[in-house]
Amino acid sequence: MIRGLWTAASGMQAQQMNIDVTSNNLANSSTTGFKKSRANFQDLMYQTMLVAGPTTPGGGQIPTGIQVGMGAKPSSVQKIFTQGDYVQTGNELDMAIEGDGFFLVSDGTENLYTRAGNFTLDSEGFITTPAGLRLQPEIAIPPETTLITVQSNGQLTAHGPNEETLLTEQINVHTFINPAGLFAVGGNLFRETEGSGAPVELTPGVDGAGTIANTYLEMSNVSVVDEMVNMIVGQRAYEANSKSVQTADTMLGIANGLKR
Amino acid sequence: MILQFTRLVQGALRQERRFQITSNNLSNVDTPSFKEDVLSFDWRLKAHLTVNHSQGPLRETGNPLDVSLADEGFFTVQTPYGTRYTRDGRFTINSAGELVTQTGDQVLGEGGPITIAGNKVDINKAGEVFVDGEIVDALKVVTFEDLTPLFKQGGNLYEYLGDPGAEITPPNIDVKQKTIEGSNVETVTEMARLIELSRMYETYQKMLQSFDETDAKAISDVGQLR
Repeated sequence: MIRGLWTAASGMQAQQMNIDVTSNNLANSSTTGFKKSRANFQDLMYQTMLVAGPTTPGGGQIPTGIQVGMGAKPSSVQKIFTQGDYVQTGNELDMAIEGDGFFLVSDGTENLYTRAGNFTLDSEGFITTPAGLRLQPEIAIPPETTLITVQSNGQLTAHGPNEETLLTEQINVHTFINPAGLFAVGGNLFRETEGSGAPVELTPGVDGAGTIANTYLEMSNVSVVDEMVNMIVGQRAYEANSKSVQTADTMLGIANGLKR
Repeated sequence: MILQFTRLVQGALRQERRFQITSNNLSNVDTPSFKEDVLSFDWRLKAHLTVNHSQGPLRETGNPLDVSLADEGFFTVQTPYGTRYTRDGRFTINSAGELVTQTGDQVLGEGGPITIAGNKVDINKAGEVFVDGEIVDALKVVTFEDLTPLFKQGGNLYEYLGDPGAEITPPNIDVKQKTIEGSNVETVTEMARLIELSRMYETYQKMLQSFDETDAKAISDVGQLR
């Protein structure tokens, strides 16, 4: 009885985590380049009360044992790197990656990866993220530039006032064998880990790397409908487990009532 | 009368055991690929626990490394403790590029652990794994003539305690990529069971009390001198 109480409580805790993850997804449903997370659950350990296999005194075999499960536990929170929707912004420094890969940016001390291509220029003319992390390799746009274009293969060209080319640079994308293993540091940024594997620098469109869509942004891949449904399921599962807790309480009350 | 107490206590304890199973089923109502435990009692009131291996509902996720089985069988997983079986196909890749479960156990193909080196993973109905269009291996999907020796281990894994050579290839393999299988626990059934068992528990308690009252009468009233 007491065990069942804790079993139900573990189910409630798992659902709490599910709701936490879901509400974070919903909060970021319009964050550029955001990738949704998913809480994964597993059943917890089992307590074996009767082992299958041993011979009974009558000479037969105990066919099936009895195992009582101890509830559920969260096993991981996984980032799901499916493609988000594209939105045309018309902004010449906006880039979206169609397919796999990340932009490499640096805060001056470490390399970080992002899919949010809403770039801008800093005071020195370098291409940076809105938070001021410079796109790698660093590209300084000359001040007299009137137009910037980026080809789908990552070739950036800065055009001058008389249609002359002031600068051409190559922007590459970096792919990981297991993007789900990346560590999310917030601010749309990811850090490589052992689980993600080492980044592979590729020219956009080559060897399965995504291509760059200039003047577009990739929106979040959160599907509001899915998250809402998940939230309803999570809430109901939470409620169902709370009923188990109440039942355990009632039964314990009944047992206590035996002795008046 | 006093001897009758044992039956009632046993009856109440049976309800407690049913409650443990039910609360575990309910706590896993949202655990992918979870199969409900069914507790039954035979005519001697001996407990039997079976696992209902029926298919759970499939849900589309869009994640290329989510794989589910729309028919019979289990994925084969290599854990540090030996071979285990699971229907939970929410796979990912470890730093060595091998296909692993969420807890890091290698998913086995026909030729051992499956290495995914590339960008695009496709898995067809037969479980064959293609990386960038090249076939690398096929997921090892197995089943058993008799599923009773499959023991739950926690972590969505099963251990087979029968004859180790009993693995057979299921006649119908239906691997579905980008989907996950939900839990097959029926919330309504479990809720009804919860109500039923707690009321039965109450019944036993009431009976215990009335037996106790009868005994009290027999002891203190019947033998009274007037």
